[in-house]
Amino acid sequence: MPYSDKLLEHFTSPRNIGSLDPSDAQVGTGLVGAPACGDVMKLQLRINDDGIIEDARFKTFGCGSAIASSSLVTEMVKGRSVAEALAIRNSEIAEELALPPVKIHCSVLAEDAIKAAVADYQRKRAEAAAGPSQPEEGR
Amino acid sequence: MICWRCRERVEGTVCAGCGAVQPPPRDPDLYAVLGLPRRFHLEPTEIETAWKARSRQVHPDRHVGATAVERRMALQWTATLNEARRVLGDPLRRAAYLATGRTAVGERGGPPPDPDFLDRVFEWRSRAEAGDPSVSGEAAALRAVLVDRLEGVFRAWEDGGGELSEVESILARIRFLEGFPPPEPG
Repeated sequence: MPYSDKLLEHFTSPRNIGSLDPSDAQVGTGLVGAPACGDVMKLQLRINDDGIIEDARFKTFGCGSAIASSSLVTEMVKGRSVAEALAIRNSEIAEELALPPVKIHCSVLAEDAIKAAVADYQRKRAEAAAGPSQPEEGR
Repeated sequence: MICWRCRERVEGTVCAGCGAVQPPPRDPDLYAVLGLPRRFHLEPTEIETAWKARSRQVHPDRHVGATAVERRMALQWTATLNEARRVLGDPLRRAAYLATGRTAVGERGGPPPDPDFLDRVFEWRSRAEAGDPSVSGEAAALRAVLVDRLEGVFRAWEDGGGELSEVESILARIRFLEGFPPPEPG
């Protein structure tokens, strides 16, 4: 099965590889894994107070399609709102990269990673908002 | 089954009475194909012996004078027997087949692994990529624990007292531990 030029390009020169500080309150970290193949994908988003994704980084251990899917996702989400990022469907990723049928689950993983990263960010925000009612550290 | 030619009762590839090749099952039970008991714990030699004996029965050389239909059925039997050997001959494929009835990993591949496990796998992959040689041993040790657990589940099941519901999640975790250092792109 030949891979598309777009997929090969994202695989050979992935965008936004790396990490953001997971302890930063503005950063949401999503770590997901595909039970079907054992691939693991970490996606981190820095989200500003207006709910806009300012930066995205990823690190994926897996096949070329998983790496390309996560690389593409970092490009897609930058500059978008959280709601827009959550609206990204795996089918868009699969179509953009022309993933073969056996690799569709890689795009599912990338969609899951966005959701997990946003959920982590929102959990942090909720905890920070609930903060004042809890005893503060070091008091 | 009844032999299509001589109407005697027949089991397996070829009629013991008249030698006619029997139609291969459309949706084969891979254990029945090889005439093996439905167990996880099988000796590799049991599988090889059964596969060899049955493959010999449908070998083209034995059916030179047979009708075209029979020769085609013999060929289909060969493919079915090879598939049974491929799936049952590999312990992890055999485990998945017993638990799910499928010969390939499904799209979902089982329940999502718990976050702590994923954290650990991610850390190990990172260290392996950085060239830390100790990771492979740690991963292999955890894999051995999971294989033990799998064998325990099947032992209980074979003794008539167990469920196979845990098998898919154990197999999924084993897949996360394959290929240290990191696999090539594929």
